[in-house]
Amino acid sequence: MTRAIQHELFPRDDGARIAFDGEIDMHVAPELRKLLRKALEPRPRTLVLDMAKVPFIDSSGIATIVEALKLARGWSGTVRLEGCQDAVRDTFDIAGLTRLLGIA
Amino acid sequence: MTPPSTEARARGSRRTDEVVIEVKDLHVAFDGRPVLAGVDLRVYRGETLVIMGGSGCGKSTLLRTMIGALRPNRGKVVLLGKDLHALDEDGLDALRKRFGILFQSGALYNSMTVGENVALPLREHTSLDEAIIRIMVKMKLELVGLRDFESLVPSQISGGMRKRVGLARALALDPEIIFYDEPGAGLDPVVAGVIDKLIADLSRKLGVTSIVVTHEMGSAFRVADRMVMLYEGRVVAEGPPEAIRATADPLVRQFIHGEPDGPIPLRRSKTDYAEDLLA
Repeated sequence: MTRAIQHELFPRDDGARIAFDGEIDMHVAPELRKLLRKALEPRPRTLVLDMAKVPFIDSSGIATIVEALKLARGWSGTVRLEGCQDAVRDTFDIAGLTRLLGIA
Repeated sequence: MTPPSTEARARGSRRTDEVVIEVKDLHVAFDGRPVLAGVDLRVYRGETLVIMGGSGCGKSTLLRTMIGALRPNRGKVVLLGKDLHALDEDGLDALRKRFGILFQSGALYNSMTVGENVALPLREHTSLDEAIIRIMVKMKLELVGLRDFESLVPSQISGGMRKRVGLARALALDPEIIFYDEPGAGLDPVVAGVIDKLIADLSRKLGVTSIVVTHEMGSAFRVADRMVMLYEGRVVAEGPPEAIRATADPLVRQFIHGEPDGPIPLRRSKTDYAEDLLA
């Protein structure tokens, strides 16, 4: 069972910012993947994921973001996370991915 | 979800007041010999509960009953709000996605690679794309330090490594609860320490509830938020590690200090030795 993911897309000079709202888990990850791939179609230099309203992310969500970064690196672009809540930051920390995704 | 209790926060734990497992008056007997003789237990979300006791005290039987692998003769286990032994197979399958188990041996499929073993629950229980599953497998193997071993089969790695792969597989679906059966057994001290740190991190950083069955006291005191000691199928002591360590109870003291003399006998046979030999 997949679920839609609440989000808003904002253009930036160097690409785009997507602000998410809600938990990112295995039910949402397939939709998140479609959304990220679409946002990466114009090959932006930077895709910022605003996580301020995401209270929880699981490893399927993290893997989906890692795949997006992998795609973006194909044209020297990047995917960066901003505004992570502590619980989300801890999840990335355990996965050993805070630096890769530019999580301060 | 309820917030962590004051006591839990003080310990750096994410333990809440929400009960995720309730064991009520559990009795299990094998061949008429009681193994569990009325166990009552509560496990709270986010805590690491260590169940300890000597060989034959009933701790593995308790774990197997708590995961639905054994049916009790009396009593019940309520896991994540469901009466475990009243569920049909479909109900049990749905519940099994929410908890992971690290078996003593690792319990891997020998015909599959390490990576395929870890991917198995993801392929069976999710609709995730294969590319995402491949990344997740690398993430789970990295957690246990074995990312470079993905393409090997279990017979090509050591027993300790197989156990770590078993843990990576137990973590595949990001379970709310993880049961560990003797997590340090057969591992060298460094790897056992790494596994202990991972258990603690999953609990303290992600709020995963852990139930750890062990007789290794160093590990037990490193990971526990709370400890329960079983003896002859009953809970004989329960409390935070510092209370268990300071207890005057001779049964608990003998066990945690590994003393040969005390109330815990070496011999468990109830029949007379000479009479048995001469019968």
